[in-house]
Amino acid sequence: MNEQILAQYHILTIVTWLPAVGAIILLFFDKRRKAGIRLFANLWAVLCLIPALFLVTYDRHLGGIQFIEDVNWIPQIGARYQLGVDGISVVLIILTALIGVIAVYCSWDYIQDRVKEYYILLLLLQTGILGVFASMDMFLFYVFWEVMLVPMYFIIGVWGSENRLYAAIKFFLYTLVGSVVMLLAILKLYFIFPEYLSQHPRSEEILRSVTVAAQMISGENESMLRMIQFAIDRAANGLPTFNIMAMQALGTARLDGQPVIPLDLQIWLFAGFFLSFAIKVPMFPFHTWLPDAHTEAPTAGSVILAGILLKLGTYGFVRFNLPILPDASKDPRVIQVMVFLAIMGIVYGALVAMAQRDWKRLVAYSSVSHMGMIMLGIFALNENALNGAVLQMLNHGISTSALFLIVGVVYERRHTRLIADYSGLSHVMPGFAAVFMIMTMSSIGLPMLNGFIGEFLILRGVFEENKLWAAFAATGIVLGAGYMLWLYQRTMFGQVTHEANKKLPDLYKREWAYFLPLVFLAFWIGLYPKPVLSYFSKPVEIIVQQVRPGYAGKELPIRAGGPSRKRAVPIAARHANSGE
Amino acid sequence: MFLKLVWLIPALPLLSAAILGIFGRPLRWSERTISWIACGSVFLSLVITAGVFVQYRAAHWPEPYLTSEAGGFPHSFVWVPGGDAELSLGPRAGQRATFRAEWSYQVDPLSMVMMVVVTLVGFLIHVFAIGYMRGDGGFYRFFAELNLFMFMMLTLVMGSNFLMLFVGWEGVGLCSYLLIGYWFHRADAKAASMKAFIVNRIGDFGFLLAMIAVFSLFGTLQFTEVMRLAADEAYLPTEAFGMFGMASWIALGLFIGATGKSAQIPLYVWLPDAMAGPTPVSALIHAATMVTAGVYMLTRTNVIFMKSPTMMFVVAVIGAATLILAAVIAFAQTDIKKVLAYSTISQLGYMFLACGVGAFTAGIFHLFTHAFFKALLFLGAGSIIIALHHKQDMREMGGLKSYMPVTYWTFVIAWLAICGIFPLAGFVSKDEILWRAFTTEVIPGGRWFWFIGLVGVALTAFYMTRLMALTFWGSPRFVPSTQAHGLSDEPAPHEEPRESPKVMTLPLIALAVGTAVAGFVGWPPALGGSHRFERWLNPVLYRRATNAEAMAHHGATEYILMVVSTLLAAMVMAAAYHLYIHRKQTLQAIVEAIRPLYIASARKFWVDEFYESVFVRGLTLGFSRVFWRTDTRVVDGAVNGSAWFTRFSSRLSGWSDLFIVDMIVNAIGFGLRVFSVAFRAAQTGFTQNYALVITFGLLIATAAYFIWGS
Repeated sequence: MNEQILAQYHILTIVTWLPAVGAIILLFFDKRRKAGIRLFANLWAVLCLIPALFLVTYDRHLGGIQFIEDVNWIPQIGARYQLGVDGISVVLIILTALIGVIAVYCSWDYIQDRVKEYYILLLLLQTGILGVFASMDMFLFYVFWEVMLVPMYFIIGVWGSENRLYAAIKFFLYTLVGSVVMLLAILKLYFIFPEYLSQHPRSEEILRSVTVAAQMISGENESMLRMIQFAIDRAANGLPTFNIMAMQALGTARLDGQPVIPLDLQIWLFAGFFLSFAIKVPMFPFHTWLPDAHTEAPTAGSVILAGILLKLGTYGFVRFNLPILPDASKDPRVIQVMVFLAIMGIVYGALVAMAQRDWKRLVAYSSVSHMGMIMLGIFALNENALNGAVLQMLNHGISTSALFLIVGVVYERRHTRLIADYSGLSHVMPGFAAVFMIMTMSSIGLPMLNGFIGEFLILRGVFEENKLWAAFAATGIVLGAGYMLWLYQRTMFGQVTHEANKKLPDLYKREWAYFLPLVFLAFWIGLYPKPVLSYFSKPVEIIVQQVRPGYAGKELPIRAGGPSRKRAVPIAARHANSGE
Repeated sequence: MFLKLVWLIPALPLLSAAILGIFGRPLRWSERTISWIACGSVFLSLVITAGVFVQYRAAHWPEPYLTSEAGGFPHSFVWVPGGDAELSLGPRAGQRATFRAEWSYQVDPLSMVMMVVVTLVGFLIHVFAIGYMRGDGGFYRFFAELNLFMFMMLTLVMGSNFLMLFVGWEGVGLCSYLLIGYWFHRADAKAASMKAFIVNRIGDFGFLLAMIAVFSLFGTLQFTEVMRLAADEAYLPTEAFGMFGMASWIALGLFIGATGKSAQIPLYVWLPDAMAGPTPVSALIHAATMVTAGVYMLTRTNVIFMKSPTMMFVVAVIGAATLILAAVIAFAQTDIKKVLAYSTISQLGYMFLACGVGAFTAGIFHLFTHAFFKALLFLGAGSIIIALHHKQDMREMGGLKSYMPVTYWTFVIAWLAICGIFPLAGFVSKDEILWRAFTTEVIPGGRWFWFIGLVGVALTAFYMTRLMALTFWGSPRFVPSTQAHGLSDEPAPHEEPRESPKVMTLPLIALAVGTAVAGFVGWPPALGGSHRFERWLNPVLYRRATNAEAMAHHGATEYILMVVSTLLAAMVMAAAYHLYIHRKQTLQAIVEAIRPLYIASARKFWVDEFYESVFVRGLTLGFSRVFWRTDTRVVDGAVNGSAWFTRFSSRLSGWSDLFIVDMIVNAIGFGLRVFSVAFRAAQTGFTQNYALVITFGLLIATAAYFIWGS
């Protein structure tokens, strides 16, 4: 049981907090010793990647939440320090750690002032993001979610380009507005959970149903079930909980075939989570913070924003909206709105990208289009599309990060982002041209590169729900080729027209060092995605079953022996049992 | 034994591409090394293909051989395990199907033909390219990309399922893009490469959706499975002519893909521009192999197409219209490669016409012969272009016959073949198409299609003879140039055009031999043959011909049609020769007489301009600009507006705080101060005064009590 051994060593705590430890150590550095700070930050980022890589030992056959850590945190409100990951978070955490290394590394030359503060913030940001992916407690989740904003705000606001303050404030306020509404939704869930399980007129039945649901979503995963059961038992005694998986069990539970959380309430809660996540994704029409933030942020900031931060939104939908509020998620009205916004995002984002004159802003808008594709995949609510969507989160993280790094490469050399300032760069920078070509192809979904697998699976799944949606979404693929190739043509082909471009050096070794892993990943996922898919195909299967029980003629298995704990066990006894 | 090596056929060129792409530049390999690696890998593929052919024919034909039979990696592996799904179309809608695309190759009669064409013609063109690209700065890059193309094309034709076909499909598109834009500093090349990619993507849009529909209907993408299920009448019923059901929708999507890749109306516009690429690229990708992928795909999915007579008719109409339109445009082009490009489009039209009338084998046969003679024509043109230092305008050629004898005589063979002169390859395959159109029972109007095909024969004969006359015959019009016009850094060129080196002429000769004999593999029974080609391909067809049908010949009608088309071609050739060599005045007069048509032909009927203004600038860029403005003004406007509103209201409240709330507070204070004056006056500090006030107060209170109290 590798997983349990690692859990004993608090692997997730290490993964989450190691960057923050680095930030604390950096505090003690003399801020004039820039080289030392830089070196330490880089080494530390690599060090942070190592424990994250241990997560590949996630048991793919067992599925569910693993590496669980559970400690009492704020007993007065029932908030616990609960960490745990399923396959979806595992791949996103590894991506985060990897992008983290690259983001730190690519700042080597670019950041020259306030070096110490910069790296501290970058490492803190890393902890915030990792914490979001690893949290199993909504309160903890929310804390990480909010904490993460602060370093990002400073990174954009201090090290950004001309219009940085505007972008930083816009980013901060926009996201904050969403989070506040999400907090309301979280609190509502927090209050109704014990209410249903202890004060509802039919609380006995609900309790039983929730217990069955917990067993269904846990499958064979004992430790996950234990975690949920603990929350349920508390709630049966009227004590509240923030446990996400317990909420999922509540959302999945049925009373006479009806959802335990009534549909109306589900839709309100959905709206609460929606606003926060939709802003983060960002979905049309909540996307306008993105081009500004991406464009103004330093390269590392854009890379983290595009590579990881946006995935928090889609991750939120997959972790909260779908399994906790399954009936709202499959409500036709909700789906219509979601699909409309997603398709708008795809087409609109692509067309607006086409009109851009700023290289970085073009890439930023391409994110709007790609994220729309992911949202469409999520709300097709079937296995193919959801697998595709999760894979596409990873793919977008790889290819768009690389595209921002690519802009960074030329920006560091020429200090302009205008497309018109570049032409014929292939002549002077052939290595750069090759990398850019590969990443362009990855971004527009060429087979044998990563983007294709994700896009194809999404389209496959979407077609199953509605042919017209698939047709609209597929236009995004044509338009995507349009704006990306046009960009490539304008910047890389033709004659070198600007005198300053004639002596641009090709990629330095350091730049190769951060492009090559991304190129490798792009090819790997494109040629042999099976290992990657295998991490989340089971969690995805269960989420789909939670939202649409009986999809594809399947049923979530209830563990042999059936619902075993029908009666709530007193808290004290549970404590004694679980040895806490 | 060879069948176990099938996976190597595409893998070798890929390996070579990777080696050249990664090491070619840093190690500064000589052209010689690069040529050996590049051509060697393709040659090995060719050898293995030959071995596979022999073995497959002996042991497996007509059953398909899948590399998954040979086991796991590298023969095959699970590529995309996408999870479980529900079928959403057809009789099994709602049932579970697992999406699990595998990476495996399939050898069957159809892919065998394509493999032979691709490796054989591909190898010859690789060899030719050694000479053509000599001295080019990006030699390594060129061969890396050309090898990559070989891999993609072989994947396309050998893939055992739709998804792999799509891999190759998009992959050849990428290589086409890279190689058209090979000389990326040239404005025409950079525009053409992008145009090719985007137009192809529009086609891929249809292909992608059709492919997804195929899975949603059949629950698999494996060709063997799909075709087995599709052949089942209960599963996919044959539609009546004029109806547009499921089979038609799928066929439509696939056909949209085919029109993109195979340059048919309405998506043909990219191919002429693609001539900006180096000539070996035009020969390999834009004549012999990639552009025929659409015909391959239609034949591969012929079961689905045959279930939809409506779409068959559409295919035939598009094919017929394309073959005429392209031939007419070829009339007035002056760039030698442009003429050949339109000729390719026109010949592809023939192949689609063949598919449309249900003669898929005839289409593939024409694909097969066309690969030889069109590659030969392009390489011949390439030989001329090199001799004239990258001059492509036929108005500056003429009389090359005596300077370049090998090029000339091989070109003559190709010219006769494309015009359909007995007994060369083009004659056999084109006549097969015409005959099958004439007698088709799949769609109505077969004789009309035959007639259009016949008009095409005349047009082809004319523009090809014009090309011969302008380049090889007549008097030389080229100016012996003294400065390098080329793209290479060659020293000053020779005074006179010279025959190309052996490395270029040998492939020409080989292709000329192929052109001469390729027809015999499908020699019709009417002329004493046995339709060997057709019978070889028969197993992949939905409506298979019985042996008797294949061997039947139809006496007088067939002979008459043959004679008509051959005579027509010969007469037009003679007339064109006469006009271009001896009667230039008459020619001038004719051109004057049909001036509007001539200009329309020369300007390609303004289709490019129309597309550009309506679809590119009008719709796409128009919407793009409108949306951008919306984004900055409306969507972001709302955000900034709310920010402004917040600031405004905060300022308002600040102001109101200052002027209203504070004012009230101040007013109260002021009021108190005013009142306090009176009260202060009362605060005298004298005890007597206070006593007086108390006494009065008491009196008033007592009085009040008595008046109102109790």
